[in-house]
Amino acid sequence: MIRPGEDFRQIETSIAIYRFLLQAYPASFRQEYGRLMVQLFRDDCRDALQINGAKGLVSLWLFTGIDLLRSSIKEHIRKTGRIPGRRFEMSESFAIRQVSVNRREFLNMAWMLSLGFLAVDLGAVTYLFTLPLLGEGEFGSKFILGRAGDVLPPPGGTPLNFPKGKFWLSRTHDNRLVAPYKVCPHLGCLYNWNEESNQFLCPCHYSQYKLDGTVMRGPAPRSTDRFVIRLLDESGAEVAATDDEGNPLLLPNEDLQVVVETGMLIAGKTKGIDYPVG
Amino acid sequence: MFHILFALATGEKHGYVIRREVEANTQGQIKLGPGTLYGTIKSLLVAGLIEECEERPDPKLDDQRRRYYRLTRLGWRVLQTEFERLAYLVDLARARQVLEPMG
Repeated sequence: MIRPGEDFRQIETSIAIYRFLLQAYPASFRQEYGRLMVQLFRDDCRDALQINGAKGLVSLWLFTGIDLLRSSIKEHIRKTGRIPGRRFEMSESFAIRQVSVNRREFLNMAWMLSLGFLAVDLGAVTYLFTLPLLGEGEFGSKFILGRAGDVLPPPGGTPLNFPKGKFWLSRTHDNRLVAPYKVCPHLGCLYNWNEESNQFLCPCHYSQYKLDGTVMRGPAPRSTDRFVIRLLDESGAEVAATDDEGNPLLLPNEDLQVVVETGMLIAGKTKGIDYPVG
Repeated sequence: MFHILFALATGEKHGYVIRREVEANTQGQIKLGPGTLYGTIKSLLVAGLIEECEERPDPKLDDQRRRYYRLTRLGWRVLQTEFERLAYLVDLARARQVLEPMG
């Protein structure tokens, strides 16, 4: 989430850079329209941030940079009636000849322009690097599911399916939570919930798992791997989390927020080593 | 250029609104950056197709820093001529059965 204050700072920085880059335009054009262009750019920044956040601002800069380059060259041609560095004149109708840019001025301008673009490039890339690699709700990051009482099935009910997070969310009869990773630990198929037999069933080799992910039958060597679940209270403080062994986590009350960490995977217990084969 | 004239045909507008309208009219195909927009506006001013408004359209909604533009009589005529030319071309294409009939 971007806070309003941060928005403001990003916009002001962008505008300061843009104002500097306006030097690329001829002085007369800048005097007449510079203020209006800055204002328009400010509106753009605001829109971009509102619609697409930081990514919107970066793409706005790309777009505006190209615009700046093209239109500033155009204004110089209009002013001098010739393409900078070339000798021939443009068609009469478009040429409003006043002062021509000499070689030194043109080189200065080109130099400033390239410096400006370098600065913008560096700024944009640096900024992109500061953004987190994964956002909330992407696999490998946090999934904030909401209040337990609102989102969870009843104890022993059908587990919730989270394809994007690649996990199931089970609530056992004794009110414990497990988030089994969807990939079968046998040969990597995606197993499904089977309503009739009330268990997870892998379509490839018929490995069967209980609601809490414990392996029952079939070739699977261990119970399903599971992600860490965190339970948070209203203030966001952690009340409980899945232990290091990945045991089902008791849900003390329905008001807690349920968060699944898809970056933290715990292997299921191995058949015959961690517990006797049933 | 044509699209800016077109946008101004429905009333006096300032830069931001002109651009929004151009974008909407072309279904997002034409996006004008600040430099291109004001460069084109300058060309149109010099050619006498548009002019700056002296009076403000609505004092209540007004922002002192905005500058409003409107079509001149010449600009209006140019726009009409352009529309007639386009309409003629479309008619011609239909008559020669070059243009596929619209579904």
